[in-house]
Amino acid sequence: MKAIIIDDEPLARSIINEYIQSFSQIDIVQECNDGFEGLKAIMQHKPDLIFLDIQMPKITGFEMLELIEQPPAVIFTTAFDEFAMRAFEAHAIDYLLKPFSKERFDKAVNKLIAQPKLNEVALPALLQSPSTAFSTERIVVKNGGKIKIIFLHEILYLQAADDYVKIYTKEGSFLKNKTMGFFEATLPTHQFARTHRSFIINVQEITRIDPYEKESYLAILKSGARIPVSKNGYGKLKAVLGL
Amino acid sequence: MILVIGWFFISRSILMWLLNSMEDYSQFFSLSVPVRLAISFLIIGSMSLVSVLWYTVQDQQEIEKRKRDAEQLAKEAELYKLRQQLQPHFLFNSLNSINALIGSAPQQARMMILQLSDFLRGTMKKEEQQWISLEEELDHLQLYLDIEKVRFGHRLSTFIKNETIGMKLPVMLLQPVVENAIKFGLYDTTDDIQINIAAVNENEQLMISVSNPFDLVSLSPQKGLGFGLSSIQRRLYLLFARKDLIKTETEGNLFITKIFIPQI
Repeated sequence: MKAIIIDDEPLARSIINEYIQSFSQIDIVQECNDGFEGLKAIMQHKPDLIFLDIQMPKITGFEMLELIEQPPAVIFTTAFDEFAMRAFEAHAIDYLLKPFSKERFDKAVNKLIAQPKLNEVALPALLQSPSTAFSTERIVVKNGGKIKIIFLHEILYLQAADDYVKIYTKEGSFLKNKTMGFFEATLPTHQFARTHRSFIINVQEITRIDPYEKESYLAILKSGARIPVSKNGYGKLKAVLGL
Repeated sequence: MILVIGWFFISRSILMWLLNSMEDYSQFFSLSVPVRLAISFLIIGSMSLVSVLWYTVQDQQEIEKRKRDAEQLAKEAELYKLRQQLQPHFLFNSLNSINALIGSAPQQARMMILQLSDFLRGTMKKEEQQWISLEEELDHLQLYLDIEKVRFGHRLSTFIKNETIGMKLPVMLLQPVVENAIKFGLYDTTDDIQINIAAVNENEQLMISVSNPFDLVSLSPQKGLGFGLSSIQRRLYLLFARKDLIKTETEGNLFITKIFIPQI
């Protein structure tokens, strides 16, 4: 079995390395300093298991996981207990609070060894479940081979595109493997409104709202884009704008 | 009124009894009844007025004092809360590093336990004091930075320069500034970084600047003062009633925080 350790502290990686010695069937194929490196290593090695820290430079462990289509089994290792809820929503194999004992570590790894297929159903489901305890500050997307971090104020609007959501910014559009429902639930409600089945608008970008057909409207953005607003969506938009 | 009449009759009967033999005198006595009534009424009236006023003022002062005490208490509680900036994750991550060192480098593990103990003891001791010398504060920060150096290997270097003599600052004020520098400079970056702390005497104010590099890509330019710094601003305001004692600026990928501490 192949495993990768992703943690920005060298000593935190070395304790995992030390503990894993007793599992002869598991090989640590690489150790990574941050989420970018982790992402590359996962693509390259296709590991069965990753030990993942959450708070890291560049992108968090959660954000890194979102960028992987078929994530490996994950054991989170972190000093922050406030992320536990989210980690279990992500159906992680386990969640180790630093510092952890060898016994606790063994228990986590044994879960995977006992049930190697455990993560196959769990992880993709997790990544679509909006967590109530978590609000998004930024969205991390893959753009070609590069990783792009989009801050919320840069978003003009979002559009549904089959299994993806297309995020429009001044720099162009980016695809994200999420649902409209996910974004509707996680984006701050004072800034974003779902005006239509297929559209979510950053209300700060709206210059005016014109009547369109019977009981529907068009929102005109600063960029000139014209976004449909349904009857239902008009109500939501008015609520966000405080009209 | 009752008091006045009571007083009048009592004094009258005493005088009548004393001056029983002197006819002229008792006659004058009966004639001057209205005048004496008025005088006694005035005396007692003004006395009661004074006492009423006095008690009102007393009550007022009591209320004022209670209000001041409550405000002071609330202020202290807020200051205390703002001082409690020591992040628990720092402690747990340090313990995790020690756990790793115990296996690979026991001597270093022992050293880190001693550093951590000194640091925590210093933090607790400081809770009781209000102001400490800059030298003492910098020694304490050195312990904190040394622990971070063990956690992050050779990535972190620090440079501390103190050009002042005998200046003081409120406890646990500089600590969160440096923690903020570590958070953005060290936790959120991947390169080797340097954190600079410099203290100078500027027009009899203690000016301390802390600079750290930050990651331009992952940090929103709209962030402004992070939480750490807005709580320092609040503390400075509670202590000095001034809002201009903290300034931040960026130079390329360097973030510089300056705090000014009036010496009182």
